[in-house]
Amino acid sequence: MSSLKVGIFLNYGPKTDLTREGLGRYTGTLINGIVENKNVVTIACPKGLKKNVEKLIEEFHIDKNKVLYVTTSHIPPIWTVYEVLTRERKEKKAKKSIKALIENRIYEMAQSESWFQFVLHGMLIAFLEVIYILFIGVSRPIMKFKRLAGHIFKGVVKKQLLELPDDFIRKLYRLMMRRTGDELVNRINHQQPLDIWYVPALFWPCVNDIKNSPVLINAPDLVTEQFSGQFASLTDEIQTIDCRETIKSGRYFVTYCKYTGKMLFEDQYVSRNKQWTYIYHSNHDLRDDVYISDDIQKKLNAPRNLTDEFCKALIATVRTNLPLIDGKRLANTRYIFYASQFRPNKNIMLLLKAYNNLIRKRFRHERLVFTGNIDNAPEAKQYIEDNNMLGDVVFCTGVNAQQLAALYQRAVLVVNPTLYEGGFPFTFGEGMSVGTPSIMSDIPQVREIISDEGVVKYSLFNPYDINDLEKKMIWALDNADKLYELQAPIYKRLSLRTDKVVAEEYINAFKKIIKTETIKPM
Amino acid sequence: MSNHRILWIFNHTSLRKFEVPTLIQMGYEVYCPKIYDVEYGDLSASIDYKFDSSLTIPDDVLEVLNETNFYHNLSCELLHIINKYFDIVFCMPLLEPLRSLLQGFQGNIVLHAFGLADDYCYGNVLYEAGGIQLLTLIKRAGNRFWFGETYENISEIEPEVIQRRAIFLPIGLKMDEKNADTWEGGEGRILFVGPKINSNSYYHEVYKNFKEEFGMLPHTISGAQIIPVKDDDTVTGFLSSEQFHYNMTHLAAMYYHSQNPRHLHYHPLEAVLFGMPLVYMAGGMLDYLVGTDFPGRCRTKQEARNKLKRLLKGDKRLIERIRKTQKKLLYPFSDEYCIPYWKEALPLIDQKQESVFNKKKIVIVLPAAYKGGVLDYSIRFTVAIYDEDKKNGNNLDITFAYPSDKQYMNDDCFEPLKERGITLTEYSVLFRDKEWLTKKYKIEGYQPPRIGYSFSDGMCILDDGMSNFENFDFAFVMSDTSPGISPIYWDIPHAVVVHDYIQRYVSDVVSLNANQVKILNQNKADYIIVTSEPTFEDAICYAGHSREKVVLSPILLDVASCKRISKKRKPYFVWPTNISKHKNHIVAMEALARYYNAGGQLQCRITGTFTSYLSYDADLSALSDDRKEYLIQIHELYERFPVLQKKVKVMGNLPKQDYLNLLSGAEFVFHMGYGDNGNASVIDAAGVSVPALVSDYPAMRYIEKFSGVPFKYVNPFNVDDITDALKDMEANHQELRKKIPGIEVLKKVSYEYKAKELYNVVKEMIKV
Repeated sequence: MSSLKVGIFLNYGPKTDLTREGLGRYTGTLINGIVENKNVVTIACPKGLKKNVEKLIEEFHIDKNKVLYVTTSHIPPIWTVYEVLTRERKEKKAKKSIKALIENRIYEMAQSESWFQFVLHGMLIAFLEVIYILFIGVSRPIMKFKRLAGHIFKGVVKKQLLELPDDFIRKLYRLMMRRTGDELVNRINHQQPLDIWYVPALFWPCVNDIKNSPVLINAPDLVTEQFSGQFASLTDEIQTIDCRETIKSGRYFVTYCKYTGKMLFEDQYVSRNKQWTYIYHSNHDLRDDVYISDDIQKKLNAPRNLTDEFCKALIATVRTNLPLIDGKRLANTRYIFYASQFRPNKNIMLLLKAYNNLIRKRFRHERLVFTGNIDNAPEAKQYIEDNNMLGDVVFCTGVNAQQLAALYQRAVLVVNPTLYEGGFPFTFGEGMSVGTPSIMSDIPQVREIISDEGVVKYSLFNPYDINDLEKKMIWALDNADKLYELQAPIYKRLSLRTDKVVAEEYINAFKKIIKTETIKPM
Repeated sequence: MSNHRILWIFNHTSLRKFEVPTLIQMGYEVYCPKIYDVEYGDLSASIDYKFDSSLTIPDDVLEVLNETNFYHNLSCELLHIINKYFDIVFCMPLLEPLRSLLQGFQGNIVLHAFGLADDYCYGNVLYEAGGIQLLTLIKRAGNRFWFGETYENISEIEPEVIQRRAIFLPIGLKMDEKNADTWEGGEGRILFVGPKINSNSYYHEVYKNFKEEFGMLPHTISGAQIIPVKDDDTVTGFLSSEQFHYNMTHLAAMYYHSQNPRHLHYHPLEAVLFGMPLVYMAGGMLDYLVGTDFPGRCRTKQEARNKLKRLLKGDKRLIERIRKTQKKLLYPFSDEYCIPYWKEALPLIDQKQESVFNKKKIVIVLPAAYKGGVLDYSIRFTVAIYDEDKKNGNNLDITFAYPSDKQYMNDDCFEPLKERGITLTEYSVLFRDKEWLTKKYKIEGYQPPRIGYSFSDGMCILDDGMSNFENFDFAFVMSDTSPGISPIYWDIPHAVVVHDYIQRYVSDVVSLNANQVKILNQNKADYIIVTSEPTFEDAICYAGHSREKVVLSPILLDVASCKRISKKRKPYFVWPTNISKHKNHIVAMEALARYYNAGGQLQCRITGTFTSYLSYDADLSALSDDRKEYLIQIHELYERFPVLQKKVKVMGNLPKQDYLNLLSGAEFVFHMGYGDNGNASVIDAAGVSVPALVSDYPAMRYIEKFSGVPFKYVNPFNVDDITDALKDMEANHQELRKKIPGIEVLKKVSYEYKAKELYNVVKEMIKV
């Protein structure tokens, strides 16, 4: 088997920015690795998602010629409606500019030297007024209609049809995604078979209907089941049901660590007819995004550390949730950093509470910086407001890869309090690659990588024990350099897991499955 | 003309090649900096010692200059040298050096401008960097200030204050003539210059657009990359001079993208010199400089693509037409064109300036009707500056401004100021909105395009009934509070004293809005003055100020000597406090109760502003609801622990002497508050050899370090620890007492002794 034809199934919905989502980025690195190994990748995705996939391909500098696509035939109307509804409004601007135009004409009119000019300007003003009135006349009813439709929707749909409109919308969304998924599978079954299809998530049970090639499914975790209470108030049950369906009907799986694999396929699900393996994450090395080499620094005759300067400049462009601490000011501060989505398993409340003590009882100066939108973490938002911590905790939104690297580079310490992960957290490598050490939860997924008691003692904390976190944070803040030295050997080992190495492991896993399939009696 | 000198604060290599020899040729001595900051993307800077030989300044002075980084704040000492040896300074729109020069340089300042992107103007850059204060300084500089524009259309979009000082100093290019017309062609690729692709958002965009619009044509992208560009073989990165030379002489053509009306890059001109065909977009600076009649000029990208394709195919007619006509593009950069303008401009700039700096007028402002610590600090600050200035040649004209408030009617708190003849001004507060400010700016000729977030909810104006302090050179605002619900508006450079960031450590003591106003007041200030290292750290970490902006100044302690009263009937300790939550009454009183229940002997005597409310029989009806709520909690402790009623005696707010007498009879002082800038009463106590039991927080540790007075520390959140510490102090306070330095040693940390240090801080801000 020389070069492989690998399919990647990405049935994500509208507005999924793959370059920002963790799983999307992970897929990006994998595609990169597969392509670099002289294989060809075919991506199956809904038509509406194609441009986002292309963006991902571009951001990862992947050779476009080695990527083929299978897409749905058209973009469903509801997809477009969703995109339009979530677009920002521009009406006010238009109104303002017409007003300004009219105002200017009036000034011009006042300066007219002849009656002819005066009348001409007058007519122009009258004409603009008509446009303005028409605009208002058109836009107001539209606005009113929108509002009315909203009322009807809320009044009728919410009160009479369903208890939770959000869930309702989510269900519509899932239905749409099931349709696109089915269509994709259908198209795949009607085209030339590939050597293998790889599916990076558990959300799409339809992949098990792919008949012409073996399918390897990535099973990151069943985190919703672990934190059912919290997820029940965040999302619907369908996603989890779909994931379970995928596990039940699937045959080949890969997980991000031994622990989750064992838990899913040995402890929970009957594993007859199933094969699973685990492949650790590749290391997220952020250094290339911001590191200015010594060679170049020398060429520039630079008196200061330019990487640091560059990172400061990048942070200055970051958007924050606080007008008083914009990126420019954030760039001056010392801070603790946690880059993560806000999910119940991420345990950010513990971090917030420990941080509150750090400031209020231990009088530390460091700030706490998160990436993500505070509105997605209502509990945290409430806690921050109740404890008057609004000025202390900063949320950076819409952070791009370079800004993320800069935020890691300028942080004093990375803290990851997660309760549960599919594998070893990325945050460790992301921080270490730009010189920032981490302290993190003592969970089996972490222990698989960090087991040396000398390192564990300073690097891991009990994620259910606020005092432990507080103590470890203070020690780490005061001894960041020592902690870095302590963690450096682990990072060195981890950094060998480049995208290419991991991609090779995936390719080996693919090959193993292909081999199994070919000797399987038909 | 002899010995007229120019300080030329640039390190740009090609700029230096033209301007410095031109100036020297005109008879000037020119100094060029030897140390520079490379911004992370600045790729064209270098150092050249060669022009030092034009200078007739003493060697030791030259040595000092050569060790100076002119791109930062310039110290008074350095300004003194510049004033002595230089007549003109050429500089960039960088806040710190420009502000220093405007404040402290007596000669002529040329702000050299090279044009910015699109409609972005220098007024904007200056306003964003230094606030309206910087424009005020420019306006005040009058004919000392020049806006040296390299293209005549730069000032078109500048605010009036800058526009009216514009003078044309065209940029000349000294190119290596031996390269002229050495282009041969032959390589089927076009050359595009796109540096800093991954380190500058503008160039990233330029790169992306080029790839999209011209990527289908064979091309090479040159320009230095500080972050390597992966997976694009057409990007060359740093090139050796041979490689560079090869590209310029062999590639088919250069494409130049910029349609910027007020900025031009160097490389298209370089291509013209080499004789390489240049294809460029219409609407940019070249149109403005030489007109539109050139075959290399394109109105659309399609036109450019077509022309480039023809050049790639070796269309000889087009090549020759472009090469023949494009030479004219170089004329506006030739000596022949430029030097006459410089010869005309320099005599205008180089006017002997009358000494414009007499006394600097400064105002020290009490921004709210303070009574306690901040008032004391402000008086000491003013007195220290005044007394020290007198010793240093009387450079300052000092005014003290305070809010109109009935508490200052009969008070003699300003007596030390009156004694010294310091002008006292009372002000009232006016509220103004954003529209008012926009109009004011337009009238002033500032016209900054946006006022931004700071004043979006309006502002407070301190109205002294005269010019509202606009005629002062500098204001020192004694705290970051506002007299109203909006930040204070200042036209003039000013420093704000930030005593602490207590809002970080104690929730509810400062409302969200009040915190916002505090931070806005700080953000707008030129400097932040803090008096302790912990507050310094918070100014950086919490408020996000740059390290250059925050200045650590001495604590202003009053070390009063008073005889210790040795005989007392009932031994006691003193608890100096007020009724703010951060004084930690609940925990402290519970600890006191346990201490007494366990047989503690010492009485507790409470003193401080409003402390009469802490008495168990006090009437709380006059207090606001949230205050009342807190005090009720304290009063409940008296009910829970009746022993407190007997042992705790509230003395209320005492006159200074009575307070010192009370202290001097105490066994020790008890301070359980936290989160503020520390409690100076422990120093009052040390003055009468009384030790202190204090909360362990950074500000108290700093006071210990600053004063050399050792304290006994305790965790302010742990009742048991405090109880034990009280018992321990009762038994062992004598030991701690022995460690307190004597009064003569202590006096050395008093504000009178620290006046010089403070004066130096102040001096560097106003540049006297």
